[in-house]
Amino acid sequence: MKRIMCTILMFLMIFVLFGCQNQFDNDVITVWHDKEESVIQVLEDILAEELPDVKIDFIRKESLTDTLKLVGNDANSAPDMYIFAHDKIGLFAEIGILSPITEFIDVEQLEEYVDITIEGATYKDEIYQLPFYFETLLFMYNKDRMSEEEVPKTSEELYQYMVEHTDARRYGFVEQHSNAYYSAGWIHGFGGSLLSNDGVPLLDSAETKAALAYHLKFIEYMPKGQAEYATVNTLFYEKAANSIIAGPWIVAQARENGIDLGFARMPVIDETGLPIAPYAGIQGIHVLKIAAENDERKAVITDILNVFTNPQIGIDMALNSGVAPAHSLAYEDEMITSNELVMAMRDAALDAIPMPNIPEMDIMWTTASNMLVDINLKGEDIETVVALAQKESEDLIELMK
Amino acid sequence: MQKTKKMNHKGFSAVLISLPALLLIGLIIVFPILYTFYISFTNMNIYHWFTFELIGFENYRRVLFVLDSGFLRALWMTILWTVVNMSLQLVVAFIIASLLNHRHMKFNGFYKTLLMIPWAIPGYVSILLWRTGMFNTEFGLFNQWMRSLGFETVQWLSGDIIAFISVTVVNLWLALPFMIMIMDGALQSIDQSYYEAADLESANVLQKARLITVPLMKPVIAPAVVITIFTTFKQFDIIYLLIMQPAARTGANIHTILTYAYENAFITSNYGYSSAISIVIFMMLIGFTLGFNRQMRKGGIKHVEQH
Repeated sequence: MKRIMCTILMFLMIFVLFGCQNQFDNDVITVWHDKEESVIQVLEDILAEELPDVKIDFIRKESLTDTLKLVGNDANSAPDMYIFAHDKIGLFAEIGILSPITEFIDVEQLEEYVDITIEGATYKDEIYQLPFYFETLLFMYNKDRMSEEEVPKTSEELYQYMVEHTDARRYGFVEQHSNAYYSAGWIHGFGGSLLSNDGVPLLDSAETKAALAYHLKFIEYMPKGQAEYATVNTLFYEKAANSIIAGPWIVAQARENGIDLGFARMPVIDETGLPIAPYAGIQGIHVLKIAAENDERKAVITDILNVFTNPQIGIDMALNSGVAPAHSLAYEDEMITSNELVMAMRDAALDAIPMPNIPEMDIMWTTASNMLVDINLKGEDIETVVALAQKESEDLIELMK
Repeated sequence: MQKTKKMNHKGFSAVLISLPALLLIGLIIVFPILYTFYISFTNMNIYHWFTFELIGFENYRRVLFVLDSGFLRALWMTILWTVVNMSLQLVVAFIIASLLNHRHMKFNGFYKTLLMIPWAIPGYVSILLWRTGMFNTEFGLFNQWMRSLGFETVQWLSGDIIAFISVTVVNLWLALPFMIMIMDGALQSIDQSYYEAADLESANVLQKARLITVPLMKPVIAPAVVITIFTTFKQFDIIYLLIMQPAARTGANIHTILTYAYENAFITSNYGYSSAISIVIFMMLIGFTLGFNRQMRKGGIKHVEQH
């Protein structure tokens, strides 16, 4: 009996070992994504209508980018396409696993897209993403606490409002002031940047230093210690903050909490005349090189991408999820033009800057955030901190090579 | 002759039966270590992702000679972190386990179950609960108490010292159940006749603890202590999730070698360099294990000789 059991267990383990191997199904096009169900549903619906014979499998993947790095060129494990933000394009293009989408669709088809979406999708003159929608930070306020007349048009008006409306239990305005993604808007408003287009850190530029120094007086009237996503957004949800700079992802929860939400253009910085210009993230679909190497699959992918250029996709996604369509024709639809959130985001896109998609940016998120913490939370000297952060960024970028 | 043949046959069967398990262990544990070791000698990074080449000891030269003083500071912080946490764990777990085993203690089972709760909750959840539920400057329970009592609120995770204390508290909360359980088992394994003899000799509580309990517990808890030292030394998630996440830094600057390596190597996607750092940390732990085992053997021999 013991011997039989041992034999069964042995075969079971061998089976498990070999069972780990991924089964590659030739008929099915696989798409990895990290999106909510409502976004994927739009794509599934249109494909079912336009290409009913195509078998496509949308698989939600946690740690999508890390997994892609490891299996991106393995035909047995990699997907054919993936849906993600544009900011990893440079990384995957350098690794060599991405195929430009212009190999599948005509570049003329992309002319109708909102400028920043194609700008974000382009790396070294090649377009690697077919954009679906974009998101950027918005100035939002609680209409019950901040009247339309009080909505600040300039940074000094915002500062005055904060001084007058901040006390021990309430904040006039909150934001994640020591997070590089949020703080970048202020730096751009001074004409500065975290990183140049060719990958050189710009933390020690005069514009960046001026922005950091100017921003400090606002932080005096914001929560200190913990000013991260959960704390800052909860302050707004709980009506303990009258206004906020945040992403559209907080809108549903804010409305659920009974907040009468208002949207406004970003305040213009008095010293420069430029608005606070946050980063924008462009979400879209990318094709892997190994999928493009197979002619049969390439033909199917071409059909799919051509369907995905339909502006209706952006309209449906916007109505389902409150995102801003990447296709400019979507903005001719009345349901879109009457949607306050979507139009606010489209207006914000006029000032927004696509997140850099070059690999060096991976370094800057960490070094710039550390720099902000040292200045904003620890009160350290700007010149010293900035010089150290610049050096650290340069060293780490060097280390990438 | 017949006997030797039979034994050989048995040995062969044993190897054959264990082979799949050995293969699995080899695949999951040994292969990644060997592969990391191999990658540490290459220039694998995003610019040479599939076309990497051997570059000798260059990555090790960078790790050992080019790294700034941050690495040394992180190393000292890791040692301090390990020593403080291990000392506190041993003392607190010993006190609690002793109380649980006190003959006059009632509802021991209930208390033991209660003390196991932190172990039952996934670590990630516990850490975030502590961060948002307890330490949060705006909504955390501790600051709610401070406000209710009329005191100024405290930024529990902001300064280096207070953040170190806060992070240690969370680590204790997560680690104590394991140590209490081991010590509880060790205490129960001690023959009560030793204590009865000590009572006859009029020994006090401290003398009994020092001369009976601790020496007899040592061999039982030693493996648990080694495991916990390693876990504490290579602690990443508690420190990282509480204070060092790039998008949610609190102002404290406490790096262990793992958080430091993550922030300075892994974000570069330079796998050759990152692998070299991993191997250096791995070697440190191996060295530490060998040293500890030697000490244990010496202690064991001494212990036997004394008897």
